[in-house]
Amino acid sequence: MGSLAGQGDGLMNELLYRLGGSAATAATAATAAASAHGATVAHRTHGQARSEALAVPKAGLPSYLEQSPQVRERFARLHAREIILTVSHLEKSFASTRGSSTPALQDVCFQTHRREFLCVVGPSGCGKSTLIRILAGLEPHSAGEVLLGGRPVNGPGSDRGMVFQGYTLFPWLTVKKNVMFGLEVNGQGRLQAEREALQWLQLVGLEKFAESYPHQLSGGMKQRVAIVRALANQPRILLMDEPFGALDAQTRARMQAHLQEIWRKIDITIIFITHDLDEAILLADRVLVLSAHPGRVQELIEVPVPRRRSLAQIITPEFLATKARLEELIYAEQDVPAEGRGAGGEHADAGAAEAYARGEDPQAAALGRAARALAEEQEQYPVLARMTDVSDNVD
Amino acid sequence: MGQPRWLRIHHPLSPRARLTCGVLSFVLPVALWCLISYVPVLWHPDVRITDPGSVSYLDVGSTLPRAAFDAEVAAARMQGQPPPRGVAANPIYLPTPLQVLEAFYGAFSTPPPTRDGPWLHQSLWHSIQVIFWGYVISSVIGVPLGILCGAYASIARLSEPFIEFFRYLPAPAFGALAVAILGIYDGPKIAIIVIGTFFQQVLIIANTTRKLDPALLEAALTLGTRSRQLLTRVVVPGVLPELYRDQRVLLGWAWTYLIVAELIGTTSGITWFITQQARYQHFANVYAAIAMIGIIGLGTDMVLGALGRRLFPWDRSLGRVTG
Repeated sequence: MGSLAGQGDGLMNELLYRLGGSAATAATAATAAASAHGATVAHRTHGQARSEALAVPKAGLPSYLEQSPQVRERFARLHAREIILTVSHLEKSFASTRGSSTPALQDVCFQTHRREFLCVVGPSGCGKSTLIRILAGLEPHSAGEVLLGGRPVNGPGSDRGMVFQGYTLFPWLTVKKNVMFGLEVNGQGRLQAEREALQWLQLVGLEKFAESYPHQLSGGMKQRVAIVRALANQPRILLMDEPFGALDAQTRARMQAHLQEIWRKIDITIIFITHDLDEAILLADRVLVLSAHPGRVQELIEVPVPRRRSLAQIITPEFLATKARLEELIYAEQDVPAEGRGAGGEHADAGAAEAYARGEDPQAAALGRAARALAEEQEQYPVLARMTDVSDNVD
Repeated sequence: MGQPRWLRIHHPLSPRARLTCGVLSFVLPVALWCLISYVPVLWHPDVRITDPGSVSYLDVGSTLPRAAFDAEVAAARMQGQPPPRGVAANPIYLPTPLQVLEAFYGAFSTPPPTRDGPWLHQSLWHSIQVIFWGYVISSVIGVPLGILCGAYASIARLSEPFIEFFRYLPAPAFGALAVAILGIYDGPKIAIIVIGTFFQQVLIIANTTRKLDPALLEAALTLGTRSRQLLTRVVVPGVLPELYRDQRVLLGWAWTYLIVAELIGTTSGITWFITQQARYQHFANVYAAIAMIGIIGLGTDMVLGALGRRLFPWDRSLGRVTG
């Protein structure tokens, strides 16, 4: 496992070593101490090596491995929680026309802890969606193992909720009945299911739309219903496959805030696939970076941005440092730089990181203003009794 | 700009324009019919005799082609006899709109030619019953089989190749066989409608079922739905609006087999009326009867369309397609 990851990263490490510099030792000590599990260890050691090479990683930004004491403490708490999901040596290959097979995922290993928010990013074609579909049980894997709470995953089940990019609400059911669906097929009585469905709708502020049909809702509202429909079954883990990809920028920002709020309130582990790096850093505790053709784990990054997070943080040094690292990992391996870069303002954001470092930052300032404006107009969240037993704090 | 709205591709019409166009789609053909019927310079290839003159075989009111009429006139003139006289007319098989309208009323109020013969409304009712039972029997088997074919590849593979073969066989080809098996009354007629409808029905509904968004099935699976529930809780409700639309189209299909079906065994129903009237050259009555079938068909479909909008309030595309 270690050797494979090493193969993938060898070239990158070379490059970084040549850049040279003194080590950011405090950060590496902290992260090394915090790591305790097979998959993470391998990647952490790579990260360590890299951080030693990277004193001044990108024009004055701190290293993405540097964590403030609060963040460090939060990760210590995270690692102390039980492991929910173990993916070990997962392989997936698709049979192609001439009898040969194309590998889509190769030796993917990682673990998630209870109440962790894990984002998966990678260039197009890295098998992000395949990975999450395997976790959901919608697709068989070729080799390796997926353990959920110690038991192997074979086929879909109500212990894993899934939210798709295309809403997938049942158009013939009202919003309330959509949320009741999972409860009813799992044998709950109608009255009980209805009561719970209404509570869940209250969590996302949609109880007024209980009797509406999905086509009467906006995209953001539909996706909120899809989220609570998945949560109503009280799954161990929530799998989200680019859930906000189809939404406009403003709605997406609001949904990100909303999702964080939901995640804070209930006992749920989230695996979230996205191609939007800002989104990944904004939401995740850790970001799993995959490489393409075949999909392999490049690095599992602990996001050093403190919680609770808001859009205003996207110009903080930690955020920019993490983003720079992600861009490096994802774009460095692409032969054609245009591919995968076009979508979103990723060029502009990379520019913003450099501008920030130079001290003159018109773009960053503009971004900051936009973020503040958005934060101000964010809606009020319903105050609720927490719905499941949440004994410890994720912030 | 420049282009009028109604000429833009895929541009929706306002409700008023929709109504206007809908009415015009009936008014325009009728107007054309009126023009041909009532404007003597248009077409009118025949002559209707108003005075037979010296020609012994002509009667007042009979028609003959203009060339024959002109020959008779010339012949009479040559012999110094009074020539026949007449007015330009359309052939007897094209009655005027007014005649057909009269026939519409007359067909219902005229008693049957024989004492035990059926009135027109009885004939019509008989036809509707034949259609109904043919359609119901076909649907009772065809709809579930179609859904199963659409849902399970194994069932599709087991049944569809044979059905594909069978649907090319013209239903009337089974007429003699049906009479031999089911007698001469309604049995074989219903059988022909079933044969004509059923095989198309299975294939159409199987296709509709296959078009269900697979993401909905996956969503249901991740919510813990088991395989059998998947059929009843997702597949069937998911395809229901489309299936309803298919059924409307197929009902129209069943009607098109009616005339052929009713000719099998003892001729009955509206077909009996049409063949009788054609035999007496009462073509206005024939047109009226044909129009009645159209009106019943379109009326049923409009009622079903309106019902569909009530039954499936979540389906926003319903009502645009008419069968």
